[in-house]
Amino acid sequence: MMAAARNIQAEFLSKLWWWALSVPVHIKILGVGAVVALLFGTLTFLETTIVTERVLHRGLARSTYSIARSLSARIERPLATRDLYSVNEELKRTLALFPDVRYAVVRDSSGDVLAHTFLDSLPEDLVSADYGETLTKEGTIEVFGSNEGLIFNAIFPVLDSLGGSVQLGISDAGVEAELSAVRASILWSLVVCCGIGASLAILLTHIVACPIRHLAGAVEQIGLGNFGIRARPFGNDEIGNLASAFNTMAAQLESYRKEVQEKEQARQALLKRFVQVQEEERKSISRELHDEVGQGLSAALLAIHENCKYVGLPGNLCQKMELRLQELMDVVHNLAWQMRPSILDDYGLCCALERHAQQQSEQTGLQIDCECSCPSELGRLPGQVETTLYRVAQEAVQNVIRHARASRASLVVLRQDQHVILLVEDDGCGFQEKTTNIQDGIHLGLTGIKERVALCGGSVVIESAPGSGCTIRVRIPLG
Amino acid sequence: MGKRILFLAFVIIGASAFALYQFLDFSAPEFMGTELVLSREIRLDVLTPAEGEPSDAKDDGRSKLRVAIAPAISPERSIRLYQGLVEYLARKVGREPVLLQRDTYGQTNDLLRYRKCDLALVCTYAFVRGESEFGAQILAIPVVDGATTYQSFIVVPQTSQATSLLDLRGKRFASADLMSTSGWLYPAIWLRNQGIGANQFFSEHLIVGSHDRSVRSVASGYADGAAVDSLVFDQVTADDPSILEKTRIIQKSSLFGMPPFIVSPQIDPELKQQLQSALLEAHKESAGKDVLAPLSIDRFVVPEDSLYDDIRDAVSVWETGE
Repeated sequence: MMAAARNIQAEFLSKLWWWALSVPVHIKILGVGAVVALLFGTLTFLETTIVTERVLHRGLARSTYSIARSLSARIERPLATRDLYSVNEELKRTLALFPDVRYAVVRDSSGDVLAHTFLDSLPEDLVSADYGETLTKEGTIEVFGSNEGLIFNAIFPVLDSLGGSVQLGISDAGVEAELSAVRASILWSLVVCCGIGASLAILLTHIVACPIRHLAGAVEQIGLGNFGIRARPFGNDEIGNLASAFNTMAAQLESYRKEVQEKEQARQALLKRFVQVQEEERKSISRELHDEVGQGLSAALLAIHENCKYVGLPGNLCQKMELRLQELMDVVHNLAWQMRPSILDDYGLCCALERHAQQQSEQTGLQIDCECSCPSELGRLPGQVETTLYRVAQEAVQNVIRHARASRASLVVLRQDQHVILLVEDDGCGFQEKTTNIQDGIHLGLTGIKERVALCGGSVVIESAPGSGCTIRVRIPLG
Repeated sequence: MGKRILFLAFVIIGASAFALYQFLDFSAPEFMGTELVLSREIRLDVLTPAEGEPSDAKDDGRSKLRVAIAPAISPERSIRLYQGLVEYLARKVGREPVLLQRDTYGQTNDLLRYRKCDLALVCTYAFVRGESEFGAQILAIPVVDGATTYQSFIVVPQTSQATSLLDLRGKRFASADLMSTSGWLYPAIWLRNQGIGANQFFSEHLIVGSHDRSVRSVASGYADGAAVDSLVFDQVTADDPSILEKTRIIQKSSLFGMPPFIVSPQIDPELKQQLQSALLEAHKESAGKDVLAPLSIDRFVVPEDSLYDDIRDAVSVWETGE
């Protein structure tokens, strides 16, 4: 249970970390900038307001104390002679001179109120008796919370408390207004700084992320095979070095591909030539076999048949010799056909394929249907195309016979205006094209087919699956 | 590598946060050793009628001893000097002490005349006026440095060329009160004896309220001369010796009887007796000595009535203009 919970937690943390790492670079940079600005701004704002508040409050406390002290000095004489009118006048004057002074109360030495700045009555909380008890020679200062905000309250003795005391309260409304102004000023400064900071961060982000984006685009192009793409170096920093390295790599890749292409072209030319030479050689050997060897054997057979009775050879020996020669002639004929069926040159692809199919059917027992759709008005196919298609069909049928364990196969040729299509199908065991070993006969045969077709500029599509037979579709453009 | 950097980053962030915490000061501001934090919540809109009358004037059933001190010394100074004596006397008669002061000698006399006080320490001139106006009686007088008399000093700034009162013609002259023997009666009578009208002799006659203020007004150059009580002059110069360097005595009067403690003729005889005993015997006990010492008073005595005859004559001459 615990382990499962830990796994879920670890997975969640891993996802979270991955998500964080997946945030785009420019957002990361902006995020770092924003966090730093927020942190710095908040700290600056807090510290400045706290310090300002402390300074202003200390100043207010000093003012309160000073005003109370000076008021105490000014009412010494009138208080000593109980001239309460003058005491009241002094209180009024103090209130008029210092607008922040909220109240002033004068008590005698026993704590009874002698004069105050309220109209008739004074606040209950200020009448409380313990103000007199806190009276010290240097006076006291306290901070009260009130329904009108903070009140800095100072009590100062008059005539060393023989004459009584003066209590003075200053509201912090003025200070609060100044503090608000300071806060607003700092806040605006911070907003402006943040704005400038954000702009700089966006600029920096652009400067940092733009080369990366450009480089990523170039890498993508390389992936698509466009080796000619080059990354623009935006500077000589790490990303610039990366771009240079990328460009070197791309140039090498391009040169390598060019080399490969050239080699491929040379190989193709060589192959083409090889096939051509092979066909010509086969044709020549086939003709030689047919014309020279075949004719010689025919002549020999005829000679034996004509002259056997004259040379006194036993009849059965003659028959054996004739039979042997006849077999030899069939072998030579077949060999010549295998090398190069003259029907292909003389009557075209369709006849040659039909004949080949028939011949293979007879030899192997596999039922091979052949169907050609080559309208005669379109004329014969080019020799190279006919040869290629014939050899492809030959190889394909050979594959079917050897590997497919099929009961039936078919050859179909479709000729259209611009191209010709050859279909070879069987109902054999089929194969998984990708899993065939490169050393397999099937693979070699198929590779030969593809190479040959490629020499004519055509394409080969092989569709097969285990148990579903196989279809080879060859398409060669004409003209 | 990544973990090491992560660890390093956390260490740096932690150290920075700690340094910041140490650097930032979130404590409340201080003033005079007091932390300026909210100490209580008050309401300024919940009102209650103020107790209008000062406790010393209230009749709350407790019997009080009201002692008035004439402003020979500024009231704000003399309250410190006489509070102890008043409290001592009150304790002696079993009453609450109330020290009363007024701006002028005349007002102080009125306190006694209209029974606003039980006992008053007044100037000799004020006593003679009280005696003639409402029958004020002397209870006791202080003995200072073994003497029951004092003088008037004519004081000028140290830089002044004046050698006598006559040289102060057309100058600014300061007096504590018009009802002061040493402050005004003496120079006025002296000038009169020289055949000079005192009221026209000076360019400006400043009534400054008390003798210490007269001395200081001369020391500061605010007045060109002043007539002051010798007892107050000695006390002021003892407190602030620099005044001796700034002032000079150019003339001294003859000796006058000490300013007396006086009572109304209507005073309760028993209280009068108690007060007189308390005064006369104060020097005999340590508590009494403690309160007499700051006033430089040796003891109190009951004077011969003739001690004030010279003043009575002078007042008579001055007030009737004979």
